[in-house]
Amino acid sequence: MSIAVVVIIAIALGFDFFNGFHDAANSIATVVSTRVLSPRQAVAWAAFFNFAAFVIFGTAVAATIAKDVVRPEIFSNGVIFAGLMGAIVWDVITWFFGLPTSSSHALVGAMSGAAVASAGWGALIATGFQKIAVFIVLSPIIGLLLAFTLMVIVYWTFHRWKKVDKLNRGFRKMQLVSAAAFSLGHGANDAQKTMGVILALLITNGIVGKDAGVPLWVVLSAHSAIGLGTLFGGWRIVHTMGSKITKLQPVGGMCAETAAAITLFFTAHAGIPVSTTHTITGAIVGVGTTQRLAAVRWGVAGRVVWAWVLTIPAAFVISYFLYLPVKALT
Amino acid sequence: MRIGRRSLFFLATALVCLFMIPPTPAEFRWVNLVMAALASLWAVLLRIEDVASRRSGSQDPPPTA
Repeated sequence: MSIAVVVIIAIALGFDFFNGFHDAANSIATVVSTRVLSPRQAVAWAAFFNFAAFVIFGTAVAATIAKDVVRPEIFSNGVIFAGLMGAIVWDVITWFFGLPTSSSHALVGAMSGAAVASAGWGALIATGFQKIAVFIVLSPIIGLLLAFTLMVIVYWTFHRWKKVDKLNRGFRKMQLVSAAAFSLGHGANDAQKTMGVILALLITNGIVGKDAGVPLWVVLSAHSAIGLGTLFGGWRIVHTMGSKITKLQPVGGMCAETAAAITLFFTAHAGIPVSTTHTITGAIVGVGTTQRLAAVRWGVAGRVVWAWVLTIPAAFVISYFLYLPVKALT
Repeated sequence: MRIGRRSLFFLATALVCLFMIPPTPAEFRWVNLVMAALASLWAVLLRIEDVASRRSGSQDPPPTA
């Protein structure tokens, strides 16, 4: 394995770490805002389940990133390096401004930008891109509808319950389970994107065959990196997700996380790279909608949507220009 | 007859799911259909709730001073 490959793998794992730092805050935002766990406990809880996800889920999302977005023959060390750096730059910019954007879409946009700079528009695979683009819209909608449905079912089931305190305690305990499920989904979805990048790098350098699966050491290191990133947490984003979109009670937090976890389990199984940020935001809006539309702070939700819309093109442009000096040097 | 905001919201959500069918890969179109059906169901149920609560409101005795 050459030094260049080792350095790019280190950058990929760094991206995964930062992904945990940036996105994984979503996993714990609702448990923290409903005060079920202290921030420190919540971070440790989420990090553990981020890591544990490798036991349960396959690597379908990794395969999509490695083989279905950019033509595998276009990948080179330079393209992967510029793509990773573009995604990291965009993540740092959005983290600085406290915007909960998607690291996943930043990665897809950035890899595409570097690939197009290298080989033109023909470098992209339309069907893979189409699948990702469609689920940018669908994943928050699925989260929203499932969360709304769950909330209504819970209200219908428990509305005659007299012991409200006991009920709330029950929901707080159940929120631990739902937060764990969401963290599993997050680990499965987001860690796999880095695995996909490393797999593409290993294939490009002839370290593994074209049809090879993701080596176990890649799986373990990607999950470790995202788990550690979560451990260090991104509190600016926790604040936006947990309290600014709508005010959450334990029951709402539990329904939002469960709905988002179901969505992420499905997409991880189907090999669709979606944003955990999009999904949990949709689910939180769904919970807020059971009260009334005014319970959702649409201004904040709108700001989040704008950040989503910008992510793929912005990461694309950044990595396109980052690839140009790399191309001149190689 | 005025339609409640939440009914309209879910109706719009159902329409978005349906509009997304053509670009959705064939193996995932069932997701759009299921979500459109769920959103439509909620739009109808919320509309019924609006009508029912308005009727029960109109049958209430007028407030006394």
